Amino acid sequence: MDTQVKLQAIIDNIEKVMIGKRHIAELSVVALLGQGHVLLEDVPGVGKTMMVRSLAKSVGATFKRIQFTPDLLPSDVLGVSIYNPKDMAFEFRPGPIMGNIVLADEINRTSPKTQAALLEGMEEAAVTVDGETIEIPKPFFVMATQNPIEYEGTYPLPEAQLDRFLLKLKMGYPDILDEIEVLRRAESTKPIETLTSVVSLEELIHLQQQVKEIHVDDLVKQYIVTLAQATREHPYVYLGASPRGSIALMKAAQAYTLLKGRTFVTPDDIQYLAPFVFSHRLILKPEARYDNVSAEDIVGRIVLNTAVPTRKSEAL
Amino acid sequence: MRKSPTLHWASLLILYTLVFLMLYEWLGPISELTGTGHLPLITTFVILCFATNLITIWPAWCNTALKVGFVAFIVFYIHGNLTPSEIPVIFNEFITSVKALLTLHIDNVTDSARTFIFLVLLWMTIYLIHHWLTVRYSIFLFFFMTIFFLASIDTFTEYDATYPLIRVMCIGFFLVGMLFIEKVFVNHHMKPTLLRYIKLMVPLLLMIVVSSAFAYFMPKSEPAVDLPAPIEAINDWVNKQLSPTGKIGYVEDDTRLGGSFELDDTPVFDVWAKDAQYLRVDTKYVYTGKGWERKKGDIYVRSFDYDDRVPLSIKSGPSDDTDIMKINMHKQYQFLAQPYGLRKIESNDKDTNRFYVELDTEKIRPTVDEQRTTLTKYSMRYSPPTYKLSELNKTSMHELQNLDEDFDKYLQLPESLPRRVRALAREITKDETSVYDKTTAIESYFSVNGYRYSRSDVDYPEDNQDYVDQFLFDTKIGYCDNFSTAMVVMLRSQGIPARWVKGFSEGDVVDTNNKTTHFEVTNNNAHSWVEAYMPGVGWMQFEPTIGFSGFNQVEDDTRPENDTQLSAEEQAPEAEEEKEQQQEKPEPQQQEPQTDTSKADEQGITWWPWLVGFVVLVVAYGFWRTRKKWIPQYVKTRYASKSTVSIEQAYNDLLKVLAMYGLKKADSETLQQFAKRVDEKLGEHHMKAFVAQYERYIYDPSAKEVQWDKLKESWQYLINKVRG
Repeated sequence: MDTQVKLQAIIDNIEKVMIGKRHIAELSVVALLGQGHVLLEDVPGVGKTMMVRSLAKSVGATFKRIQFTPDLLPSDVLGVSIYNPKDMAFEFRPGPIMGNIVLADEINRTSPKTQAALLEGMEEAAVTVDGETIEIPKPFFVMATQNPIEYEGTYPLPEAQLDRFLLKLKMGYPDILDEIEVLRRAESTKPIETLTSVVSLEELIHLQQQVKEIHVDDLVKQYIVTLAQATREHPYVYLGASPRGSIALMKAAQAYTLLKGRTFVTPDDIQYLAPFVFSHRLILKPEARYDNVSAEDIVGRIVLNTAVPTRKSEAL
Repeated sequence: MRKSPTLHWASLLILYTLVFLMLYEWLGPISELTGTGHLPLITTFVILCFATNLITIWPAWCNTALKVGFVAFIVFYIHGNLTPSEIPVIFNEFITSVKALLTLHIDNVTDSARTFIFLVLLWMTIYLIHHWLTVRYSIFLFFFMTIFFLASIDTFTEYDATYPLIRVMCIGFFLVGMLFIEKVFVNHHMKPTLLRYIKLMVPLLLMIVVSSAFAYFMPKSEPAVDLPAPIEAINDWVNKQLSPTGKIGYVEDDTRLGGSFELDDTPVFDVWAKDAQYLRVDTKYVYTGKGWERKKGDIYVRSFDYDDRVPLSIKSGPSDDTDIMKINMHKQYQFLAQPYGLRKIESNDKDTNRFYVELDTEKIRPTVDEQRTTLTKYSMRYSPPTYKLSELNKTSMHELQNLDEDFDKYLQLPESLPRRVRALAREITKDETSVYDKTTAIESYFSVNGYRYSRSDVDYPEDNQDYVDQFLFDTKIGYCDNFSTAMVVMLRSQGIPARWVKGFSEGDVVDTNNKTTHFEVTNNNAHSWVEAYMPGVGWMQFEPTIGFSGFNQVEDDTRPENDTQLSAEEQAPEAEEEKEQQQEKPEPQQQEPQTDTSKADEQGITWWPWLVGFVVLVVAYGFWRTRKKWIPQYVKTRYASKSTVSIEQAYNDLLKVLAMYGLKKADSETLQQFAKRVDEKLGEHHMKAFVAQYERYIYDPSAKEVQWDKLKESWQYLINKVRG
């Protein structure tokens, strides 16, 4: 099967369940292909879990879910060694992180210690329990959600940890026609039950390899870096996008390009992805909040004010 | 004038009133510094111009007609005294002015034309302001220019702009603020209600009042004591330019004497005569302390014809010994230049011409059908007067007591004349007895008492300073007006009737031919001297100015045996001077015989530079207008002949052509965004196709081999489309 057809099939599959959220589906696939993780920020009930489950089903991956609570311990996430009297030895019981696709629900509800355990796992794709390092099966994809409304009893993620997420997405409410369609489908059966996988895990890993072959021209790299630089110099920004942010943007763009069936990244891809990659990496000055300017706005303005290199002679 | 649909008439009225006040701050100093008169009339015109922008009850052409009519009225009123017969004169002046403008002889532009141009400029300025106010909602440029103008004239001229600056600042801030409020209303599609105006205007007014008061009462640093040298130089230059009589030459208005002169060798007329001599134009006798005025009230004239005896108060020499003088005028002067001892004006073919002498000034004016005119060529018969020394020695101060009361006016002095002037005159003349000796004592006083002749280092007197007093005691530097006025005033203070004479000195010798010499008289020769009344002898001319040859009119009959010797001695310095003058004669004049000048006159205007300029302009405009046609065509043909094409260059050229069509790529626009925009405008999807290939070329190194052939079709389509 052709690469693009496979990828489109995944997205179509998700869309069967998530009506009117094709772009979110696309971006989730981008993150999956780019071997990054996604932070979904939205209110409960808009289908965050459904999104992840449908993605997992579409690629035939194992799906795990961790509901974060304040009393959750790192071992509840990673797994624990238990003494087995029969074998007279400690036996490792893997935690919920040991899945291909993991939904970390309400990640900001748990203590920083537990958050750190999850994030370390995300970064390393391996966990260390009792001095033993255990690889997490590939592909490994975490979709964490956080609730933007409740602040009481939450532990906001530190900036360094937000940086670990490739993309930050906002689900948003479906529009009225889409919501009617959601009701219509939920009337009889649960649509998620009917989904079948359209690609195997091996194929997915292969696709992830293909992403790395997508060409990013120096001019495009120059554009990415110019945008990142601009975030660092913006008057409302206290801390701009790091070089890790630049790399993330490039990786995401490669994945997106593969999804779109091209062989090289264009500035259009960068412009489209920049808000999803950069906005959670910026720390704004208090003035920005007074002036009611969000990080997304700032990235949008930077994109509108940064020259796009369209000639070879413009290369630095 | 376009009616503005967005501004309420009341706010327009306020805006116009404010802008009028600001514009008025220009008119004041302009009038004061350049001596432009009739400020109330000009102000009325400005108000009329503003008012016609407000009034929209009749069609726009009525407004235009109204303004044109008013301009005509002002010109007619100022320069024609509302006499209908002056209309052709003014009309002629306009024609000569247009010629003068075309030949770049700006000095020859007549006053009436200057007034007209000034009014038209005002009209245009007001239209511009109208545009700024009602279309652009921005008056900042005018505000800034006003401040700059006032600050400049405050720095570089005597005009004190302290209060005007404060006024303009307040007016300007209010204007800018009010326009901003209007702009806010327009941009946010708000209905401008009175309440909203008040809500916004009151804080604005308060802010302006408070900040202005604060600024006014706060202590300020003193100005720098010394202006830097370059600014000082500008200062001098501006003062020179702005002086009402900044350039030398014959002017009618002598009410405010002083200031420096620039040399100007524009020819005024040519003279053919036997000897070098001064040419008189008119006299004045009312001294104000600042300058000379003409008597107010009715002017009596005495008219005479060709070949009549010219009625002048100066006596002439014997009738059997007359010379002839021919004058060829270059400037449009409505008077004649008279040699001393003028007897009659020789008739020429134009029998329609008559003349009159203004009795108070002795100015001779030629007329045609009772209307003043310009006489360009005329010849006069004259006999230079001579005075016998023996008679002059007999002139006594007693005889002056018995003079007719007509002579009182020649003794007039302002009450403000400082005492020390009289004291000085008494001191100079106390050792002399005869009127003539007293007069010559004053005449020669300046040459030996440290006075210096200069045209450039002369200031205007202070407001409370007498013009003569300033020269005699403070500056001791001056030119003919200073010397001659000082002498007249000193003579009068001693009871000797005297008047001030204006005219031209002898001019430069162009060539000599048997008995007649050709002199060229330029603006540099404009001069003033003195006539004093010698009882029993009559009016006699004197030359107090240092460095001028003066008059050779006195026949020493007291010592007959020494007569020849003396006169030779007397003449010696003059002869030398004349020689010098002849040596100094500029050579170009010799190469340029007189016929040349007359030829140039006949040819009039040199048309070809104007014609060439016009053609160039028309052609350039044509190219500019049709650029959308020929630039794409040019680009296309250039590419058609190319064997190898740089794709990037082709892209650049395409962007340029599209930009000309109004499709300019923004820097932050990606290729695809731009392509979408272009295709929406031009139809079809050629830009998208072009960009798809170009993107491969630019961002994908594996596609190095992108061929021009693939791009060519879309590229050509786009260029053709733009060509229309």
